[in-house]
Amino acid sequence: MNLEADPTSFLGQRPLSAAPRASGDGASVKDGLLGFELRRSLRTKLLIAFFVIEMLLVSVGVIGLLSLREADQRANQVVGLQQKIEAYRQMQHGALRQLYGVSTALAFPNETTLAGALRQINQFGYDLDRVSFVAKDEVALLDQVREEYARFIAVVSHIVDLIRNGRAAEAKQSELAELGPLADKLERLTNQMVNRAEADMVAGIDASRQTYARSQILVAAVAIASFVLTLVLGHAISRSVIDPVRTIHHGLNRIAAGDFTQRIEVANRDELGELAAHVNSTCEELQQAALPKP
Amino acid sequence: MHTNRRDLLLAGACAASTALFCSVAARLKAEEPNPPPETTTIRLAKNPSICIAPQYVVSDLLNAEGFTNVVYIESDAGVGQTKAIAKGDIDFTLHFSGPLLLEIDRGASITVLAGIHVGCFELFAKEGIRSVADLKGRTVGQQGVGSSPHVFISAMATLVGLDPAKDIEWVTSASVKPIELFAEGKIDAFLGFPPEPQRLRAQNIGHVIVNSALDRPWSQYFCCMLAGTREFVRKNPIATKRVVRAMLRATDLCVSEPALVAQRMVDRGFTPRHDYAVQTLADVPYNRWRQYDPEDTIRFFALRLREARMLKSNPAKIIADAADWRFLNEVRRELGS
Repeated sequence: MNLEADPTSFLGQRPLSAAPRASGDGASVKDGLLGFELRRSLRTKLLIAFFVIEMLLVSVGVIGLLSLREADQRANQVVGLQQKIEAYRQMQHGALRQLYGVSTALAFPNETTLAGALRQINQFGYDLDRVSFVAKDEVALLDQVREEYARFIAVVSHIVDLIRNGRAAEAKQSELAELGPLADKLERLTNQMVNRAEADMVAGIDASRQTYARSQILVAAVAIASFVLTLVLGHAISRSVIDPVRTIHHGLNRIAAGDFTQRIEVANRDELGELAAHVNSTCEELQQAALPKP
Repeated sequence: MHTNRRDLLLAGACAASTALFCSVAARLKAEEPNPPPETTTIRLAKNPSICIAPQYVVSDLLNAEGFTNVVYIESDAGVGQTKAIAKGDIDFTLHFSGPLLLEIDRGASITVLAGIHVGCFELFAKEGIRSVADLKGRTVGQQGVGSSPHVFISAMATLVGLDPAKDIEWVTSASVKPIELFAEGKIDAFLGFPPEPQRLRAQNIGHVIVNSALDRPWSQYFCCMLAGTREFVRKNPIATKRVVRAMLRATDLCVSEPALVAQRMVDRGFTPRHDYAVQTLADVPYNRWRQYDPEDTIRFFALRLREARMLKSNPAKIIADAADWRFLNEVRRELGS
């Protein structure tokens, strides 16, 4: 029996000459990078199958991470919008407090109430600075607010001066005719900013929902594709392993029963194909050995 | 023939109003810029609501703008009117923004062009109901789902944390108007629009818990807005601009000449009660269209109606799809602030 070692054989042995199978037909490729042979061996097949499944798992993970990143961005946006809304409301309250301060100063004209009304101006300025900080994108509206704010402050200062000079009737008139409408306008402008921020938030929520729906569809599609692919791969691998093993098993049974005439037909070009070739060679040699000698 | 002092006064008022309208129309004619409108026919809605007074006195101004055939088409003040404009049976109308938004959300081809006036609705309630939150579990009358009162009360209820669909017991009656049910004490609350609040006040029925012309936040947004059929606006930009200009001039007339506008509405059969018309023109703030931002009104009501789960689209989409302020901005520049 000629069973000397062959480095190109999967089993480490060269098939016997009785099995003239093509084993080095180009399917065997040396991959210098990977460092192992990418021949159609069982190991390669299993590696490819597991690699594909791994890729699917990685892709599901990547989709999940992308969705999470988008959700995180949206959450940050919502937090930013909430900060804006809070700052706008603060400014609105500032305008109302200012009105209240002026009304109090008109009702009880003394240094304490007047100082209170003037102190409110500083607080209002602080509120405006805060709005300018959180709403840098609302340039046009902010400019309008600043303009109205400047007028509002001027009117408040004027009213306080009138009260200090004992001209309460004029101060009241100015409050009704100028300060009230200005406060109304400021309130409308801040409402406008709040509504815009809320509308942005709603649009963000819609976009989040759409992203979530898209992710759901994508994950479901990948899951279905993985399932189908796993079935196909499993079926293909089992066919390429189990069927030849069964064929070889039947062939060996026949040899054990003394039938050396039949040959095993295994189309695989991997270790199993080689094993079948070896079995056939052995069978052929046994057949020749069993022939009556002349 | 005996002529008394009242007849003389009435005749004088009619003559003065005619002269005034003619003078505005003549001025318009004189400053009429070219080119002429693409169409000379305009169809407007006519319904029992009289807060849309500018629509009822705009015909002379429209004539001066080159529209020779101004047609008023009978419609209800609620859902029917919105559907009529969505179908293209009416070219333009003044209507509360809420029902317009619902119809736009359903895909109707409506374009909102301008805000006309601030709050005209008043929410009347029985004794014992002091706020919108008190409407929980109470009966509220409405003309139909999607009608102006239904939409407005839903927005108000949502703002105070009620679920309008569950917390309010809506009473819809096709045969009897909600105002009659309220007057008979069969429902707890009712949202009226002119001349209904004027009538209830005159008869001392119920009390007002929300006046949208005075109470925040409603008083800071437009109530009735000018809306047109999208197709008409797209095909007839010159005519549309002229309609916007005429309507806003008519709105200015409601501020500058309320008595004459009231008289004209009575003379032309838009309302039988001159006193209610005068009161309406005094109650409704028609002087805000230059100051208020119509886009913010749409944004505000879209947010409220979305909270009430009556609207699916977000405000940005509605504004992008169904608002066109180009004409308003041009007219604002022309008419000055």
